[in-house]
Amino acid sequence: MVAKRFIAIALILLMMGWFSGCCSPLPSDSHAVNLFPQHRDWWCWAATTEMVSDYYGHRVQQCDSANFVHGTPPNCCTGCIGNCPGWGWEWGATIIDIQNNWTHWDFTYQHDASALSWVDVKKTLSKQSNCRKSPIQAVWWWYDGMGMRTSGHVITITGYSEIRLTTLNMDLVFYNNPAPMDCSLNALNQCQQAATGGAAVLATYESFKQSGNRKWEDSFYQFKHTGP
Amino acid sequence: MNRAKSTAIMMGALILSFLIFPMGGSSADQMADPKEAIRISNEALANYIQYGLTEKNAAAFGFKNLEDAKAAHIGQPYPVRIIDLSAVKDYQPGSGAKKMLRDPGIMWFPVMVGDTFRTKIEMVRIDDQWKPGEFGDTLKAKEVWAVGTQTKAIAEAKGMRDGYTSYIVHAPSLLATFFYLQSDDKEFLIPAMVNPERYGMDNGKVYSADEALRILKRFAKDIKPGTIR
Repeated sequence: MVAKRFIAIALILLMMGWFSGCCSPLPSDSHAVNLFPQHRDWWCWAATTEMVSDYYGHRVQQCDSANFVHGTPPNCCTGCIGNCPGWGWEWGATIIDIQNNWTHWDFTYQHDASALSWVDVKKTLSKQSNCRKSPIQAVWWWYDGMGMRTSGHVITITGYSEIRLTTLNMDLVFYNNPAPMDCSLNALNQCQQAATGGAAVLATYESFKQSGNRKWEDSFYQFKHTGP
Repeated sequence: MNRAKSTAIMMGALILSFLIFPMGGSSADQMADPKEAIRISNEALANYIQYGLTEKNAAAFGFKNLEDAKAAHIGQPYPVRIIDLSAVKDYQPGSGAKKMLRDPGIMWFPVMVGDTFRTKIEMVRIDDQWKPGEFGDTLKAKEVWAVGTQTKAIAEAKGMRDGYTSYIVHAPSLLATFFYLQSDDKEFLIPAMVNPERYGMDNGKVYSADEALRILKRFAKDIKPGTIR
């Protein structure tokens, strides 16, 4: 009798633990991630880092990321003045650069060298208990006709919506694209702040993962600031 | 939007497709079935607006408000072509753009309210079927749209009256977008991008394909493959 009662209590506790550990995303969820346009052509990675770090209350400016990764190039932190004619495209990044940059600014993160499944997209973005409650820094890679990677671009996924109706099944992702940049040249060939930059975009999960010769193949998520 | 209005717009778009695709090139590789892409784009637009837009985010997608978005319809679509970074790097002056163009299976549709451009929606060919792609990205789309409205007049001015091919051409690694016009003996690239000044170009200005590709090649040589920007 005592043994049966003990087993029953143990089972109940086990089930409580099981259910309390589950992430059960709602059909839609999103994060209020500010859209920071990239200041240079090749700073998408720095701009999305700024978006995500700002979301966690420890904003890392794009020029600070670029200075860390590239060793303080001249005129980097001057907003839209200075080295605009170069457009900054010597200041791109690699996946390792992005990893090191997060670590340098006292963030831990999860990196997958792949897209996230739709289930993981929901679990990652959902703000429900036991979900990851995290925006996603997603990297698209473009491929040429020979199947070689040509260049990458980073965007920040901020939300999702799962539509399940009798006549419609649709999985949507919402994202902040840091391009186009918010610096431009005026009629006098001087660098200046453009009226605006960046873009809000939505797409089906299927087309976000692959569209034409562009594929989602790297993901950073589950960020945590560990510094002071 | 009521059903009658929606049907009228869809019929209009279908008629438009018959008018533009012979003009804009009608080869089989251009698209599997333009009517299907247009039909799906109408459905996709309605679904995106109904399930993706809110009063709060409508402005970020180029609309005045949610009511404005509900009045949206698609306009004249354009097929998209890609130019690879490696192709630009290897470009031989005088060899032209035609053989560099790759079909990524993307159709670009302007989203209009009345006669006014709001944003764009893309249809993507996946497993040989047209499916909804990106919706939004309004700043870049505005530049494309603005130049797109001029291409017919440009083609006529260049003596391309007897039919010509027209594509939107992206060079993703160079962040460059053009309209491409081609007839038997002529090829032109017309910049339609944000910040064309990075290449010393002007949006809407007509460049021979060779001239534009020579300029891009100068910049492409410094871009390392596999870099994230």
